Amino acid sequence: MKAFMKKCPLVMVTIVIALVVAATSVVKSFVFPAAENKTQETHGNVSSSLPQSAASSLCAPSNVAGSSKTVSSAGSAVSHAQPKPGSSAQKRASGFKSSGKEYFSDALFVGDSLTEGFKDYGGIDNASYFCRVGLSIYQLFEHPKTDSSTGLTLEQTLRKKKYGKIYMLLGINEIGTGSTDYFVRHYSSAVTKIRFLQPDAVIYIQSILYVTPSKASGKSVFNNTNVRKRNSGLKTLADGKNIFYLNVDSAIDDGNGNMHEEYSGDGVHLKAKYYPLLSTYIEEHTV
Amino acid sequence: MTFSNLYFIFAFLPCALIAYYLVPEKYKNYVLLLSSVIFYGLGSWWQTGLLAADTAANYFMTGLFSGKNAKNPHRREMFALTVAANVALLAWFKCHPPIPVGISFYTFQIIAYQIDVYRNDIPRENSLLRFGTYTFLFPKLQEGPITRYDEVSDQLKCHVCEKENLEYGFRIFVVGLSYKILLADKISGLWKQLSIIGYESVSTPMAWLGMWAYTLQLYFDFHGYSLMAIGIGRMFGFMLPKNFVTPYGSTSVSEFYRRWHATLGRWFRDYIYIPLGGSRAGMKRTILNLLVVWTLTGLWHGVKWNFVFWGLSLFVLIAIEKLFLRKWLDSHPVVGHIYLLFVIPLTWMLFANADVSSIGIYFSRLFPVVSAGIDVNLCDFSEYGLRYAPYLLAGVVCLFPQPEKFLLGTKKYQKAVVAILSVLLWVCVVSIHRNASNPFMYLQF
Repeated sequence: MKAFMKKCPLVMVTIVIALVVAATSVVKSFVFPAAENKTQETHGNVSSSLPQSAASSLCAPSNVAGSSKTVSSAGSAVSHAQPKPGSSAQKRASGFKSSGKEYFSDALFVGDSLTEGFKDYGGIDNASYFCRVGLSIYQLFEHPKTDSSTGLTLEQTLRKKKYGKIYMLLGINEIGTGSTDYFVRHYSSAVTKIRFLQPDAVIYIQSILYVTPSKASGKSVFNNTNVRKRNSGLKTLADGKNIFYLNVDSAIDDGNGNMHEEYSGDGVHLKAKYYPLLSTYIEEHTV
Repeated sequence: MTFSNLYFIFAFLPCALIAYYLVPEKYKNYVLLLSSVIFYGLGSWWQTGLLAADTAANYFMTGLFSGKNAKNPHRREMFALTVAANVALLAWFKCHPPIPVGISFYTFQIIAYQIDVYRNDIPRENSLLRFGTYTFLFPKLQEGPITRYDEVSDQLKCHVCEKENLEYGFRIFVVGLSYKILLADKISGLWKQLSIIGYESVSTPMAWLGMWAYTLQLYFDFHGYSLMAIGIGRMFGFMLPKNFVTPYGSTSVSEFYRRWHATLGRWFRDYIYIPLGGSRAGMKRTILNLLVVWTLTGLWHGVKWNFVFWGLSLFVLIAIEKLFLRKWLDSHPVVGHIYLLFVIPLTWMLFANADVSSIGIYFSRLFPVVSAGIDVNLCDFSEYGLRYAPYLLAGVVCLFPQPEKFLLGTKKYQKAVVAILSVLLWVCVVSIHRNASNPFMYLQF
């Protein structure tokens, strides 16, 4: 044994550390068996705890009424005409109008790597961006989910400056987590919190972007049936007054409910030269 | 099952080693063969069956032109038929994917064995067990190194089991694992990002950065794998040959390809180039021989146009060097180094893109004489450069021989070496645990 220790120090050290790691994880699983259940409960409590905190720390009572109204009126969705996918003469959805670039000077775009791409290639340079690769609706506000350039959390960003409009593009990273209902509930509480922090801002919920046919044909959860289910849920969050749903998918639809195959290199992210399709749609669908 | 899998490192490998060291000498090959069959079988059982059949067939057919049949009047035909059958099998799978894992490597090793036996350089292996253990040997099964039979056969006959080999092999393995997980996999994000953005929208500085990042990624992925293979082999007492000898320290493309994937290079040299006459039959014949070798090298990597162009581009460079450039480069090493660090990465752009039109787009971004790209974001270089800077710099440092010399080649500072390797190993383990790690790049050949 001593000879082994002398001749094989790295092997010995590795064996010792491996045994310690193994022992620690065994002990951990006995001492903290309910660790996974706890996180689920916390998630579930977020939506119910928010209105209470809103009531306790607010100055203007009208805002409280405003935020709870948003939550309860989630059922009455704005029915704006859905442009037919792929049709060249896309009718602008009723209630929306076109705006110039100056509309976006007080806009904040919130999202994941798709929003990072949009920031770099969409051409709307006067807006603000909160984006981070892998950002998820389930962990939207807290540390360490900070913006990749400012280093601030979303909550810090929303408390720092007043925005006139907030665009959200989230959902593809969460496609494998939770049911549609679970996802929509979390999205709803996120919207509620954003409304609480920015009561005068208009919120645009963008549809989750389709994936390409080749990506959708794989066996994974990344398929457009799932995307469409979630988008239907997101539509119900719009109220036609402060919260709107934008069917940005119509800008990239190949006519069959997928992202055009050549628009993406990996099936999920748009290539740089196609981001202007999104910005054009967004510019033409403002309130 | 790959080397960078945690179950491999902490379950499979220790079990195989313990069994190997504990069983008596006469059973050690059974342990090796069984472990290798399981290792390969966990990936695919039909491919395992294919290799088993291939092994048995080749074992039998080699006997038809050697040993008792050494004076057989038809031994030449038997030999040619056997080699042709192996080449045909490899070619068929190359044209009909999915390509069985390791087939390019094990087929070449079997052919090398048969050529050596035919030329009476080595005796025919009379033990099917030993021959099967050789073809299946899991350290080198998936991506080489491409060995000669006599580099492995001694250990198969008489297994040397020294603790020093266990320790030293493990150290080599850890260095290889670190190259793969902490350098190659981390840097790979940059190249992936370029195809997500779309080459037409990549700025020129970013295109150059991406090219060098890919260069580093490919090197540390394959060199990392090779070190892991050599390290594991060493733990079992096998002295597998080196595959990479600081290739980026070369001053010419000719020199580079003696130091990059050295075992493939020497296979082509010993079994194609020299039998064709090498450089001894006049310049015209030499150039022709080089053309044959480099076309075949391209095809070995894949039956696709980009690999053919890649092989041909190397042929052109090596031919030019042979004709007049090499002497000049050798006598002006600074120029040689700069030349190499531009030319080799440029050739990798042919290697990296299966779609030939996208190669054109990439080169138009590298040399923007015709267009300025489409929807280019000029900040992309600083954004990705900063994000990947630590890994790229570490990669550049590890292109030099010093880091490996210190960790693997010195008898001094042993405590520091063990400490550093331990830290590297566990950082790798955490990284593997956190991410789905990238598959080895040469696994596709």
